Amino acid sequence: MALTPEAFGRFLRWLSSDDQQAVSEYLSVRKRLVRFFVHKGCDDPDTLFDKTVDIVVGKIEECIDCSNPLGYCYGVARNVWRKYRREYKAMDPIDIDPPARPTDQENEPELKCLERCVDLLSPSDRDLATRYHRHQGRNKIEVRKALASELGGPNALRIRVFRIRKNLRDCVVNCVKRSLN
Amino acid sequence: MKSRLPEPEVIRQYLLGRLNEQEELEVQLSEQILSNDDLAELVESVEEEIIDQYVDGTLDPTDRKAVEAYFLRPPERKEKLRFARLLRGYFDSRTSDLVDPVVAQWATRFRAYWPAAALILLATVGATYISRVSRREASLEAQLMQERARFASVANSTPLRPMQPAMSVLTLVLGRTRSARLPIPHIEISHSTKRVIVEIVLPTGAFGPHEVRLESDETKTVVWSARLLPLVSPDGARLLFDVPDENIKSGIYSFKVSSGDGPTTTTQNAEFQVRFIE
Repeated sequence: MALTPEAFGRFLRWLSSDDQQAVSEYLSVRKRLVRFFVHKGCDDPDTLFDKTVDIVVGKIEECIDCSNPLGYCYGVARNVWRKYRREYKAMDPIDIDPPARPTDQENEPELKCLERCVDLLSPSDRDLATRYHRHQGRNKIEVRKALASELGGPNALRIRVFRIRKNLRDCVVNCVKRSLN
Repeated sequence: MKSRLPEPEVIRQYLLGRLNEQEELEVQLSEQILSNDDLAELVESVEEEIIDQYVDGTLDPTDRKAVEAYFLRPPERKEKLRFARLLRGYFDSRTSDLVDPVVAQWATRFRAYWPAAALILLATVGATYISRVSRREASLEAQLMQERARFASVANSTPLRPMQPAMSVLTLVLGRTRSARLPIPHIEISHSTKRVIVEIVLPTGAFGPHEVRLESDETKTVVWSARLLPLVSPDGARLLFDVPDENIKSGIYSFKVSSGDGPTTTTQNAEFQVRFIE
């Protein structure tokens, strides 16, 4: 079930009477609820979000206390997830396959882009990414302990590496798209 | 004051679906993630750790099963797994470039000898080895200098392009066209743009449904259409909707907005220019 333009318009109007504010609220609600469905291991988070909005649009008239649209949408999203979960449990787990490992040939354009993107990192980020990813086994555990200590704890290291990897991923995606054109 | 973040192990259990049967804890964590961006970022970082461990093959069989049957279902996570494998391959290949296999093999053999034998060996080959290591260090230092110079030149000539948002917003006024000798708005979209959010300001008193068509000036084809109701506020009426960018390329486009029925139908245009940036 796709979100129709009419439903989308009513949803925006409900989020805010100010158009710009409505768009901004929509983007925020969408990001948070799609993330919720991803965290719940759903295989099509975007469709579940659209389903949530369709249900919310149908209930706008009867919503008595709607001072917190995100909270209201989240409540509906939980119900959508529960229903999904019941259907998912009925599925045969044999149908679920981990994604196949790509061949070196398939990876080649991305590897070239990755090399370029790593070069574009700041020297300190590049050094951290290299030290974090380079080692294996016990050596890796020791290196990561040392890095966590340098950066102020394991969570600080996690977050810093996560941001570097996110930048690299975005950079590679853009680089590959540019190279295809 | 920032609230205390949950332990990464709790987050890990949450991401592997193991809190789904403990509703109170699961609801509490889900609601915290919804409203706390710092926690949401920490959750994503733990998510990447799980993916790394899956790639490294260091997960225990129970976790591995949970990853394959539950965690990896969303396409977004499959994509992250693909990227983690790419990163692993890249850094592994760089590691093998950096390690001297002769030194590594020699070091392994050295552990098997008795200490006395090691002393004799050191005495005989020490001078040669030190000289070789010194030459290698000098060579690595020269390479490092070259790499730094190359990085400085690349960084100066091709700075990182700021990320383009996944949505672009376009505000249009009906009647603003090139034939009316009026400047038309332009919008930049890129590969990362998924949708264009459009706001069209309508004349005063515009109620009822409107037919909206998006036409390409170059091909004269309709690339998108919908029947929409205006949003009416004290400031006036507007059409607010989003258009997928799949069929939009660089060029001139126009929204043709029609209202009324039969002979009373009126159509007005709003033109805009799209520039597709690489």
